[in-house]
Amino acid sequence: MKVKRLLKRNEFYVALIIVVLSLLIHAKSGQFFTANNLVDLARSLIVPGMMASGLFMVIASGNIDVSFPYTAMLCMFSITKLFQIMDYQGPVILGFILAAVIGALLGAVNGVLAAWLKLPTLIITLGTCTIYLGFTQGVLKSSVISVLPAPLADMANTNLFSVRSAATNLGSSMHISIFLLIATLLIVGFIMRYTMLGRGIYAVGGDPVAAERVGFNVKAITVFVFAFCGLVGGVTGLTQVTLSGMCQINFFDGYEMTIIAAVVLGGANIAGGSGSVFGTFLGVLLMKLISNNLILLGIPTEWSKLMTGVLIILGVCVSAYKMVSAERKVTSNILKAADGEEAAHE
Amino acid sequence: MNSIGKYLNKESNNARLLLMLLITLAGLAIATGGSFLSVNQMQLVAYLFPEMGVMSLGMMLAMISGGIDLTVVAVADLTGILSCLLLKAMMPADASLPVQLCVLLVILLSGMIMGGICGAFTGTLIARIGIPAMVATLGASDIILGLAVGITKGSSIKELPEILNLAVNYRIFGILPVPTLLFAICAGGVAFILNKTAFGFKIYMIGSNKDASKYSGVDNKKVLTMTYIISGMLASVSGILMCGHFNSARSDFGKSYLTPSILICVLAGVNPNGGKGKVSGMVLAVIILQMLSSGFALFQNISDYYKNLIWGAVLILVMIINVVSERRKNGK
Repeated sequence: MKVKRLLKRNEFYVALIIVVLSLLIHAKSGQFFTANNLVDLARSLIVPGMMASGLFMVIASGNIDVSFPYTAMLCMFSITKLFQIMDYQGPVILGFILAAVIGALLGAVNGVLAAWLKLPTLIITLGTCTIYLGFTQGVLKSSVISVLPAPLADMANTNLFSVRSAATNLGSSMHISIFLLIATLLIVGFIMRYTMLGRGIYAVGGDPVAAERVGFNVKAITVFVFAFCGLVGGVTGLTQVTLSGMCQINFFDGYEMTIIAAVVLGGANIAGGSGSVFGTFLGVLLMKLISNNLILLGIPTEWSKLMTGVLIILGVCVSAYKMVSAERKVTSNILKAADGEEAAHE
Repeated sequence: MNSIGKYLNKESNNARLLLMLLITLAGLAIATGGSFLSVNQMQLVAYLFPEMGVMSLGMMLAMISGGIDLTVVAVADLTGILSCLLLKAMMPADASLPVQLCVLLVILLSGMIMGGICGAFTGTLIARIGIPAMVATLGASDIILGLAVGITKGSSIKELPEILNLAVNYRIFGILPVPTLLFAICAGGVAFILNKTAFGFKIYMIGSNKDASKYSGVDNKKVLTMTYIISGMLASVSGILMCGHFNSARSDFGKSYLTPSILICVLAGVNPNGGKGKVSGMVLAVIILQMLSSGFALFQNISDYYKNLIWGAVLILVMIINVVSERRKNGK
């Protein structure tokens, strides 16, 4: 029974693909299961992993957000600039708190508009994301900041441990911000699994009308998911700065697509109401595994965009198929019940 | 007098747009000291707006059917690239003008077929597999744009036969730019489909209530697929126009058109939830937007970056106004 339930879970299949793929890559290059490659992989998961867990909440509530990379960008530049101007020397945590607040506010704007206007959230967030982009480029006049203020630079140089693989003599360091990823995953997991709010998010994603009748405050939940996604976006923006040691306007180019793809691949239904943060993480892992190893897999880099598209479509095809067959099951059950009633009447 | 009042009541959205158009025109004329009203400037606006306009017509069809077509930009880029490659391959070295024009026409038609195929792909994903339009077109646009990037390896296709650029820049009787004529044909065609054919009526029906239209015997799958095919064809026309304008093809030409094309639809009063929208509104909206865009270009101190900010802000603002006025109307 347990095995059967495991086989039904989407996460199981994603994990299976990940294992097969990593074995394949190792067989081809012999360098996959080396210490430095694994550390590099974990490092590359930090930023997309955080963003995906924020976005997962929005998608689970039946909405979509394409503005979070731009929120991250705006927070990244505004905090770094602020620190520069103030010549700030205190603890770096203040920057993260500020980033979280700005991000949450920007996200809340999306949420309020979505709850109030009741228009497709894609169009709303597309509108706000061009505003955020225009603000960053126009008002803040930002493109590159190559010398970071001291607190951020210090954090950029803080590593947990370093490894060096004997075979290739390549070294990699695990960055401290991996804790931020772990914390985000745990918080999102906790909210979605163990709180009433999490239940509410799934309920709104499943059927907003039904959720409202049951007594969930649909508007508050909508505002919350967007604000939370913005908060995570803001923190992620600053994390990216400390990871790469600089600010650049094109850090998050195309991120909205890859992150949506990762969440969908992780088993979250794009129409809302399902998915898990663990699945989302696996989705990110799979995406990164593929995009980091495109060349090893024999795909030239100029086709990488095509790959993202194919992955998204494949991912949603599976979930759409599941939805359609579930619908069919419901209709056939209703029909069966109706037949049964008729027979009883006769 | 009464009939005018009735007309204004019925076409309140268009009346509002017309007013906006006049205000924009007057505002820009004052801000530029009258130079915006010159014939040259007007011709520039007329020459530039079709690229965005034709694309938005396709977007409008998808939105009326209750979906959205984010692939328009990608389709325009891909068909532009393929058409340019085809044009270079097909054009004989020293052909006479009529032959060149014929080749150009063939290119336009083949481009539309390619756009139609892209649309059929997206339409199938949406209508037959049942993927929500937004995600399907998001994914499909990555696939289509991915093809474009892969084919060109990110670089641009140059040294096109001169005829394309000449034709796109040609002014009929010295006044009417060719792109404007093409836009008029496309807009007329879409208006005809929406207002005079059963197919158009079905698009509105699906947009306002999918289940109701299904149970009243409409083949939703077929109508939706057709909608996206037409949208793809329109996008390809705009792609070829773009290539003619820039005299080259690149995989990122259309990139900046996505938000404006959605903005145009929303401004035109197309309901993003489906079931509502008119071509007349579209025409007005696209002219307003192009005027603003050309107007900004006259001011050197407004950088392109602020354009983004303004487009986004206008989009949000217009949505708020539309929703609020709609609710007030329903509240009465």
